[in-house]
Amino acid sequence: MSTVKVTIDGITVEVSPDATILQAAAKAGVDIPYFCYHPFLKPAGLCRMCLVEVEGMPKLAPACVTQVRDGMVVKTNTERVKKAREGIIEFQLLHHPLDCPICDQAGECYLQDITFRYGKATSRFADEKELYPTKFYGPLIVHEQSRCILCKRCVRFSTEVAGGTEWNVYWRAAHSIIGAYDTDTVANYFTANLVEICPVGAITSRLYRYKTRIWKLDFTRSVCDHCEIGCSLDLGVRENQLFKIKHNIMDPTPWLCDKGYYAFDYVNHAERILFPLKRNEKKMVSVSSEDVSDQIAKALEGYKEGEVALIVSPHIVLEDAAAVKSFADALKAKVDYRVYGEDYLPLKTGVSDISDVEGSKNILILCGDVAVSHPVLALSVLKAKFSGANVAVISANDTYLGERSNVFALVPASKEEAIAKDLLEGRLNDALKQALSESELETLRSMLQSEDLMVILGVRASSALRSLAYKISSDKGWKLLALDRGSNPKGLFAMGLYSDGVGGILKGVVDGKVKALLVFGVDLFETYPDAALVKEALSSVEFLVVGDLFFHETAAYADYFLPLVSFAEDSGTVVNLFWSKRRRRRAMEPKGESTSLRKWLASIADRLGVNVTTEVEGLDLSSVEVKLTEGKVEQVDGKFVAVVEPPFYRSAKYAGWCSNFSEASAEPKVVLSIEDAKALGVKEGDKVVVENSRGRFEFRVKLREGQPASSVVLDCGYDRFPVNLLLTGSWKVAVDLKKA
Amino acid sequence: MKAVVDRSFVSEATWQKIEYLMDRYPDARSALLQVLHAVQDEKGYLDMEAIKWIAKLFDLPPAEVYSVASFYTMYNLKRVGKYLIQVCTNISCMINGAEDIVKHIERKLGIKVGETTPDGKFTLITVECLGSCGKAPAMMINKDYYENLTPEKVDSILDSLK
Repeated sequence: MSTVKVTIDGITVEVSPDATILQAAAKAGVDIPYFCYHPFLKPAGLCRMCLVEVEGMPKLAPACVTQVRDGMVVKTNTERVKKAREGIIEFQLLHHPLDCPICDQAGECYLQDITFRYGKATSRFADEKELYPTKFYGPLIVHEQSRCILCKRCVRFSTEVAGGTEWNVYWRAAHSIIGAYDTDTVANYFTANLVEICPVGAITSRLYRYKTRIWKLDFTRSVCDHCEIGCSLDLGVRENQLFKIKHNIMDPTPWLCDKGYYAFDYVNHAERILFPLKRNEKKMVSVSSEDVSDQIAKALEGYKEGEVALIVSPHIVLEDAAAVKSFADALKAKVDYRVYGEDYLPLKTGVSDISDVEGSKNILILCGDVAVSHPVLALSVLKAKFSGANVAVISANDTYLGERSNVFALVPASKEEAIAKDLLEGRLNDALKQALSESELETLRSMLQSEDLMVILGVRASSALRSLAYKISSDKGWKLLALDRGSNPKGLFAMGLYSDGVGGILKGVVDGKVKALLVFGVDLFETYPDAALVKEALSSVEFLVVGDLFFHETAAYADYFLPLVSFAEDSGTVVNLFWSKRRRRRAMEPKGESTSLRKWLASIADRLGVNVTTEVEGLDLSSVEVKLTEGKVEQVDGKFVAVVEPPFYRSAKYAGWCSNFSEASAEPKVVLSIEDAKALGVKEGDKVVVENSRGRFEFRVKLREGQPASSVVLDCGYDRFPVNLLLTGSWKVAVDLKKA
Repeated sequence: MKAVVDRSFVSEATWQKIEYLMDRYPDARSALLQVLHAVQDEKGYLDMEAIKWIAKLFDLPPAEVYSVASFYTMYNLKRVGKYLIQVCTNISCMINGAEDIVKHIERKLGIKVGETTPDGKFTLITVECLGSCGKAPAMMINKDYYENLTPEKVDSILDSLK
């Protein structure tokens, strides 16, 4: 590729011909101040802070939008540029409240830094400043229009990257206001980016409001724990409290989601159990770490081969997994991580990087909301769409990408799997045709005929569908991405932490085959789609050890409770969605006597006279073989068929202990079609009873245009609202609805 | 999804006009400003409902349509009277007595600039240059120009409006 030579302040650099002056200056090591420029947004030339002098040009040129020419001579250190910068800053500060002492952005504020470096110490503005009231947009973000410099970074993110949200700029010129249209709560899964890219203190996080100062935090680079994408995060800790998370913008995508940014305060939660507990009649009493290992080891000694089983969370790191595996092998115990009742195992496919998604020409998304399970992946899909790709979403529930895609079919919950199966085999099901317009069908047909097709299977896709998709995609040369729940499912699969499913283990307990159960890092009542089975198993098991951060419902049945550490207090390795290893680092000391799972297991194993290993260096991901599981497609029929899904703000790990985060979706809702609502005599906001033979729950009605009749979507993941009681092992269930 | 736009939100004539406008451009979105005008012509102003309806029509986020509608001063986002009186107070009109005209209308109708009469008949606002400096002072009532104004002339104009 040809390059051009540009001289900036006497330093000559070679850059590509489509680079801007700003990019060339970065290469030359010359600092040009800016507010509105962002490396991953289209240049806008709004703030005029980057004005520079270009030889031969009569006026100063904005460096962020001016393309370089061969032989261009740029000067940034002249009197004219200095004066221009001083002028811009004086204007920016005309109405700025200068409330740095109480501003959360202070210390990482572009306006502060640039004023300090390039501004004048005085202002000639003698009139009264025009100030606006503070606006709280729900529990997550707070907006101070007075501090805004109208760089429109947030608006450009919302429209260019997030595919259009309620966030925009209104009115004009000096009266321009940034804000949300027609809503008081902004919770669109990606509000974290508004906070992160605001160069000043106009948009800040409510979690961090008035908590501490940025320069008092020590940052450690780690990996996010909420899904298997594993975004790179910097954890800000002060006095062993996790206060703030910042995003490392290069890795793997420039954006992050609200889960990674806001759902961390469970780490500091006052209800965390920091000492081991043992059961004494009906009460749990504290016990020393030494004694608890002794007693658990002694109890486990009494069980024969096959009578012990382990269930672990799909969020544990590989080192813990190695310990679990060797511990289980020594005890000849069954172990499984598929706590969401999955009957499938992760599929290793050829997609090796998020850029494969961004470069796809056709993307077909089936069975699930990618933006809820793997939020940042949804932004990559949108990026592909904005560069011309066709995106089709076929789902039984409304999804973030649905309204933003080329083809969106809201299909009946009972037929979702069948439609997806037919579609993969090249047939367009009648129910699908009903949900789509002529032009959408045409697009879908052309997508299926293309060789450059990526199929993304959401977390709801069954094993049968996964196996089929795997076979068809390898025949046709399609790319396949099969999503799993948890942040390290692929790693746990590679370590061999699976047997016949968590359901199999629980049934084994009920049948009396398994007598001692060890559950780590998970509340089965919340995750397993059959709360009645969980209850039966946990009340009948002879010996139960639970390890976790909080004393949840599963723990209430435990004989022993072991306090585990959170992701911020432990280092370790995880395997991400693209089958590469990522390293988590410890950002703070473990609280109380909590310690990692591997240390607890080692201490118990020591007393049992067996060895556990935490060695994972030998794990070779390239040799992992695909294991296709042959499940059958479960046909659910009934008057109403419900698909049960957590809303975004309840889907994070420990969401119930992240108060601001979970407040963003305050109440469980049922999504109903307009016909069904009419037949039931209910309208939006009314309450309906959802019941079957196993349970009865009240939900608030939310109407959705286009929702197929007899198909409903139920929210789960709420405290003291165990919707899983309705379920029988799958996340789809037949229910009946009544007006409350 | 089959996008369902409720056609009965506007009259048949306005719908025809909207279809014509959206067909005129290679990118239908180019017709946004004109469609906003067409809907305003029928409804008198653009409320939240109208903004949302237009957003659906263009497959845009309502926030973006509202952003456009609020940028231009010629879209009314609040209810206005049957007659929208827009008096020019820019330099030529001001020199020729526009301020007296405004005060006169305020007195006559009993409202201040920016307000609507209780019977919903008149709304009075001031605007920047109407491009009629040669015949200043000038005002616009809905889409009609009235020029070389004097208080007496304003009286007879307002009295003639039913």
